[in-house]
Amino acid sequence: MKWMLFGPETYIFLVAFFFLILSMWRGPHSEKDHVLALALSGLGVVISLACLGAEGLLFAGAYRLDLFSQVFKVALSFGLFLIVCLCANVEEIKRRYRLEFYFFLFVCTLAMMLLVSAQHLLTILLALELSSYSLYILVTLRRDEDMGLEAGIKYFLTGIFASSIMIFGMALLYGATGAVYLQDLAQVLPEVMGTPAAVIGLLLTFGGFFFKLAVYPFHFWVADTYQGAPDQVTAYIATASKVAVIAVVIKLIAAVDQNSTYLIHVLAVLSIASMTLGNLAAMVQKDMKRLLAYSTIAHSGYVLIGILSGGTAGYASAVFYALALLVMKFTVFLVVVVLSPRGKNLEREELAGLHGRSPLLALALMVSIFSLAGIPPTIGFMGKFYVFMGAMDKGLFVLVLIAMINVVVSLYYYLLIIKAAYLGHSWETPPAVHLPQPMRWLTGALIATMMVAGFYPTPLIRLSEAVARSLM
Amino acid sequence: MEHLAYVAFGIYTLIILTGGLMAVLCRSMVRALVGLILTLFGVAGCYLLMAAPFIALMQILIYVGAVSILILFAIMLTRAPAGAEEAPYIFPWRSLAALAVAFLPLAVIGGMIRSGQVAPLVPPEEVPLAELGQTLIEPYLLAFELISVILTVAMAGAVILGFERRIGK
Repeated sequence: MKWMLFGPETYIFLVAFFFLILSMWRGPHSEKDHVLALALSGLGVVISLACLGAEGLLFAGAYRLDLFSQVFKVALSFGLFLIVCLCANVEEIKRRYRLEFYFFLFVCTLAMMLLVSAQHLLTILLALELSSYSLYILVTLRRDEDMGLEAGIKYFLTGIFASSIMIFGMALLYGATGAVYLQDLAQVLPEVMGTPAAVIGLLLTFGGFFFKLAVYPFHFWVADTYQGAPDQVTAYIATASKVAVIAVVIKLIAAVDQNSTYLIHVLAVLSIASMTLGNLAAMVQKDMKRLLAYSTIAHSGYVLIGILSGGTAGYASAVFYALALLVMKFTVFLVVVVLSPRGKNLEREELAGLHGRSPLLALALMVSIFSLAGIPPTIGFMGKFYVFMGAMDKGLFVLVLIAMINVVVSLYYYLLIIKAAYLGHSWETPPAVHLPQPMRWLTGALIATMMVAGFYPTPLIRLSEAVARSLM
Repeated sequence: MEHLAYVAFGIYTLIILTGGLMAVLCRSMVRALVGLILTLFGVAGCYLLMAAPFIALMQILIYVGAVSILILFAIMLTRAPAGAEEAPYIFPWRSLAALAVAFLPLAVIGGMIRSGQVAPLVPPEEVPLAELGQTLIEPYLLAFELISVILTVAMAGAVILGFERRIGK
């Protein structure tokens, strides 16, 4: 039964089209739809967990299942489940499109699952396009039409340019090597690495992925899109979508990087530029979502350090960092979604007095921000520690030094958020925040995860190492 | 024989570029569409040059035949005025900048690629149709099915965005 290997993807695909058909059948019914989506995405997590051990090749080698892809599929379906948890009150999304909203969310997750397993350049390209298309539309679904449409069009225009650059790069790469499978590419590429066509093709191909990852020269869409998109969609782009792209970049670099110093230099420059630009630009942001957008750019820089260090340790640290990002970014967005005033974005100043309004949310915000900043004992600290250690082992001292300086710079704006939440006073006292019981449990669980993984990261590190080994 | 191939390639490239420029520069939507059709014909010619007559015929049948008719319907149904309306006169500086954006990467990338040794062109061989079908249902099966999902998503998105505009008015 080879098709059982394809379980999580088939399941998510069926659920997505179930929502599409449901949207033709009847109008949206917020509460019922939410419970339905929650149950179905929860089942998706269970199915991906059940397929964790799947290994094999499908579609004549175009699709590969190994521990790497299966762990990321679990992470993606878990990310989807978390985002659906936030959708209890999707005021920001136009009422009539709430069922389609779930359709696009599930299709996007499907595309990302295919992305982490695809071995054929064309399949990778199409999976990436599918996820981008769903995201373009999700972004424009915002109730405030001007905001959503502006964000969507900016995202779309930069996105199609990035795609066309990537397609051009893939064509050059194919012309230079004649290979379309990643495993063939890994064999042929070292011979032609000296030719300009192969190098340019490779760089342009990576351009498309760097666009999704929001690395420096491809980052222009991030702030505007994050700001204009509905909060839940922003959270999805910042968590699940980033995890998938980090996975595919790790996979591609692992396939093509035969200790070629050339690619490492390029990645190092991009990493430094992303970290510095992201952190400096984040300092002056007032809108929480814009701030998080710039911090995403900086975090992409840190992840690149792990990826370019290479070897099992380097890739394992990048995998660990991706999983850590999923949890900590999501927790920040949980706070943002709950606190956002209707029809507007949350400003940093509006966090004032959060400690009095909801101690639990304030604690969640503090732990997740400390985690993003890399303060022990949180999962974020372990992630950064692990990444920097891998780079030090490779002798990339200067890079680690610059990253350290960046971490210190980023403390400034991260601490400003905490200061606003704990020490800030607002003139009029806003009402206490009411959190439903399940959300309290979720928040508590997230805080616990970040702390426990900070104190005792060994199982997660073991897992990341096993994942990285399955790539080699 | 080889020179003849170069000449043919030159002619097809010229057709493609002329069609592309027409599609971008013409103010009337219908004329722009004619430009697009010209480009698609040129691409079909390139397929012929690569010894893929089946793909070339499919290109003409599907793109020139069906897709362009659909676009024509779309132009008709949206009742876009046939004459010129949008696209105001473009200031020469801007068109210069646009040309630079178009040709600078071409010059840089093309120059760099030509500076190294270019892989020699092997004379293309025609792939039997049966083999083509075989690849379509083996390694390309997933890609093939994915395209249909992409189309569904794109259509659903177009409906959502399109209807929204009309309701807004």
